[in-house]
Amino acid sequence: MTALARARPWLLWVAGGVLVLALPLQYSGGYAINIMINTLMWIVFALSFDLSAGHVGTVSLGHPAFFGIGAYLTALLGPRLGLGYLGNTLLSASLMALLALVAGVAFFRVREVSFAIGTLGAVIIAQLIANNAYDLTGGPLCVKGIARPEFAIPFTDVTLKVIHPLQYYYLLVPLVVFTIVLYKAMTSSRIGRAFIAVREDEVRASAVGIRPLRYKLLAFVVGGGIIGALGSFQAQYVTVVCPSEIALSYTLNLLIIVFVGGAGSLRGVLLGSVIFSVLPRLLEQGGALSIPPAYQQVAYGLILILVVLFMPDGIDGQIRRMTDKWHRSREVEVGEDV
Amino acid sequence: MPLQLEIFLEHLLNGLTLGALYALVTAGLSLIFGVVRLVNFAHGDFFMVGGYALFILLNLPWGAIPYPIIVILVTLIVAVFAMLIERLMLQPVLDKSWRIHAVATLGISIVLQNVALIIFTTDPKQVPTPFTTKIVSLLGLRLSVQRIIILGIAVLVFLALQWFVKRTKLGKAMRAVSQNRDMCQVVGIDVPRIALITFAISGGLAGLAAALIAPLLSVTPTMGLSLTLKGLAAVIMGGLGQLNGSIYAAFILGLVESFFAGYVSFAFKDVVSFGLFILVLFLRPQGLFGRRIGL
Repeated sequence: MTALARARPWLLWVAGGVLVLALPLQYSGGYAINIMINTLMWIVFALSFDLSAGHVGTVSLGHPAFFGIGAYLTALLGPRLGLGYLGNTLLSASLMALLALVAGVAFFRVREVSFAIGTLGAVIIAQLIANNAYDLTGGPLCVKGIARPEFAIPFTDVTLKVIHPLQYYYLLVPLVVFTIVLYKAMTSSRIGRAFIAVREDEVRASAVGIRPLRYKLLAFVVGGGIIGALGSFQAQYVTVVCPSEIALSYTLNLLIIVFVGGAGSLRGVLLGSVIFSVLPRLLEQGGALSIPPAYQQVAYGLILILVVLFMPDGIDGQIRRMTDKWHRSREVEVGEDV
Repeated sequence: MPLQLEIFLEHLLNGLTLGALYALVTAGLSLIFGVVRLVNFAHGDFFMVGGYALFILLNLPWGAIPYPIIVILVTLIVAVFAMLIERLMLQPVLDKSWRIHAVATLGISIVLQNVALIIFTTDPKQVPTPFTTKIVSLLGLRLSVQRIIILGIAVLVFLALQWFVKRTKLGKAMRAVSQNRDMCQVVGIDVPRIALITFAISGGLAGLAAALIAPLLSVTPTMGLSLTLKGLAAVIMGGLGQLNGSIYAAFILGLVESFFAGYVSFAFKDVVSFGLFILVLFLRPQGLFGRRIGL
């Protein structure tokens, strides 16, 4: 019993891993797999965002810029440099990490609200430029015809061209695993405790020798790099990059996922991503019950307000409170037995 | 040469009108931030609500009400609307962190935009007043009476606001709350009531802005967002919670945008205004007119 209890987290991870790997095989249609790809992408996106917003407490509203610019880098530089999938992804990731470093040094001069609105301003500028710099981005006409990833299989002449959604799904899985492992490693170590110290009280954190700027930058740069890689994947997946990839609506979705799920919690963000990506599709698929987008948005907004009012720690906080209560009631029972 | 002067004056007037719009919106945002430390992402949507209220009042089936009365009605409607929003959704979270505020007000913004979308569809609604088409000549410049009304009322409102915040008992209580909420509770100021009144004034300013300036634009469900963003930029440029600073910053934004759009590039005008905002953020993090504390 205790061995099982101790092994439970591991079992959960293994079961989750098997599920993630096996689930798409159950579906032949592209639609279901698209939803799954979407879910994985939001997991990566939201975890990278939560590293800053949930742990260090620096809520940047400009994270979509890393995604969109990362996608544009692949779309514009990819063909000129002749890089493959891995090259494109790494290029976007490293340049976006660099951008996060530069932007971080600049924007972390201001805090909290000013930081949030400042980064919001930056993402609006990026989108306006993408929209209006026709020579570079084609504006609203988008950059089209981005090459799909190809892999030469070693010791043969065969090249594997990634075309089907299922292939893309498995192509994305390594990035998801990388993100989750890195997130877990960073947040459950000394670094993670320093993050929380900075979030709770910068002055006291620096009094015990934790440099707030350093940790803010660390979370921002790691998040920016991962999102850059994700943007590159997106470009090579849909093969079109439009200015709408640097959209404020992404910021909104990130806030919904992270704060409804539970900021600063891996379980919360995972739950938030899955619910957010799957639920609306189910609503759309409801057939007779199909709900027009405007009504869906109203429902979203109301959910957001209700969560803030009644579950300020998100779904994760609610679960934790319930399991705590359960554990406590069991402890009392065990005590009585003895 | 005279032609060039005319063009210059035209851009100046446009800039001042735009500045008046931003300033009325920004003043409300700034008041709410100053008094209750809340960043209201739904503030531009209050303007949108005012725009549709104006649309309905201008198109009543039993004939038109005189425009001045409509202006007062729209102002009151949005003020009451803002009070309702505060009481129902925001008051319980007022003492939480600004992240919670941001999520709550974004939620409200999404709901308002989409309810408007369901009721009024995406078609832009024109809301012309009797004065939008009335043209007068001034200094060889042809301008619509509506613009003169806008600028006149905006100046009057800012003077009145000035007097209210500095001289009246309520205004002094608002400033006190903005400086130290806990102490206010100790000396018996009803803080929740002050918060509610602040929302009413803030909403009223947005409603007034809608009643005056929406006739020059057209009303759409999503028009609020860009106003919220410009307003927030002005609030921070002016120095967070500095009422006057944010009003000046709003006029600066309006003028810069108008001149840049007129002389350089229309497409990139928002790049310049947000660029200016970020520049100010870097060079003067406390804002152009920022002090450290209070209204």
